[in-house]
Amino acid sequence: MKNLLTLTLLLILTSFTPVKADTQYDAIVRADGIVCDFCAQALNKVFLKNENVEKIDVSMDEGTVSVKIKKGGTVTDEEIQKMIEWGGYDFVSVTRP
Amino acid sequence: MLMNDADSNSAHVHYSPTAKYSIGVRHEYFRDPKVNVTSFQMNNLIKRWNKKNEQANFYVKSGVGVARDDGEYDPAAYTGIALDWETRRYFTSYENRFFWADETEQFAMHKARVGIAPYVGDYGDLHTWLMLEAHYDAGEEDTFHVTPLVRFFKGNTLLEAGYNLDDGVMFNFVQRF
Repeated sequence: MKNLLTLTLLLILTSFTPVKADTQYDAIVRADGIVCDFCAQALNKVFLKNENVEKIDVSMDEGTVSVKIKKGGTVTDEEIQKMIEWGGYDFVSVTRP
Repeated sequence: MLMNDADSNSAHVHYSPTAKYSIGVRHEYFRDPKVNVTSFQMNNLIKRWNKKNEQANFYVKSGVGVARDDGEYDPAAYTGIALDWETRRYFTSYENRFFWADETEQFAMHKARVGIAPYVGDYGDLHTWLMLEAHYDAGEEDTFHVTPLVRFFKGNTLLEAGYNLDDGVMFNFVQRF
C-alpha cells in the first residue's frame, strides 16, 4: 500500500514536471536584419508553408533561424535562401550540423 | 489593427502576401471636423536595409476611398512615406501623410518617434519599448502633440498605450494572423 502511494505520488509529480527535449535542427541559417521579434514572426509563417519543414526556432541573439525538417523530407539551401528573402531578410549562410 | 489618438480612430485590415507590400481596407473617424473615411490602402516597401544588428525601411503608403461628412459623400485620397531604423535597443521613425477629400478636409500629417527598449528580449519573449511620439497636423488648424507611450509585443500581438500632453489618450492594437 505504501509503495502504491509512493508510486501514485511520483506519477502525479512527474506529470507536472515539464520535460524539455532538445530539438535536433537540420539546418542553421544565418540572416541579417533579425532585430524585431514582431516582424520576425513572419518567418515562422513563411517556413511552415513549406511542407517539408516541421518547425523553426529563431535566435535574435545569434541572428539565426534553426530549421527542423520533417522525416524523409528535404529542403535545399536555395529553398531556404528564398524563404529568408521572402520573409524580408538578407540570407548570409546555411550550415547543416 | 486599431489606432486611436487625439485626432482620430481607425481600423485597418491588411493582407501581406510578401514582405514587399500589403493591401487592405482602412476606416477612419476624424473628430474635428467629424468625417468618416473608408479607403483601400496599399503599402509598398520601397527599400529595406538589413544589417546584422539593425534594420531600416522605406515605405510608401497610399489609399483611395470615400469621405462622408454630414451625409455628403466625397472622393478621398492620401499618400505618404514612412521611414524607420531600429536595433534591438533603439528605434526611430518618421512618417507623413498628405490627405485630400474634396470640400471636406485636407491636411498634411507628420509623425516622428524615438524609442528605447529597457531590456533586450529574444524571439517569443514579451518585448517592452518606451517611446516618445511627436505628431504635427497642418490643416485648418495646426496642431502639435507630444505623446509618451509604452509599446508591448509578444508573438503576433502588439499593444501601445500613451497619454498625450494635451489630454489625449493613445491606444493602438495590432494582431497578426
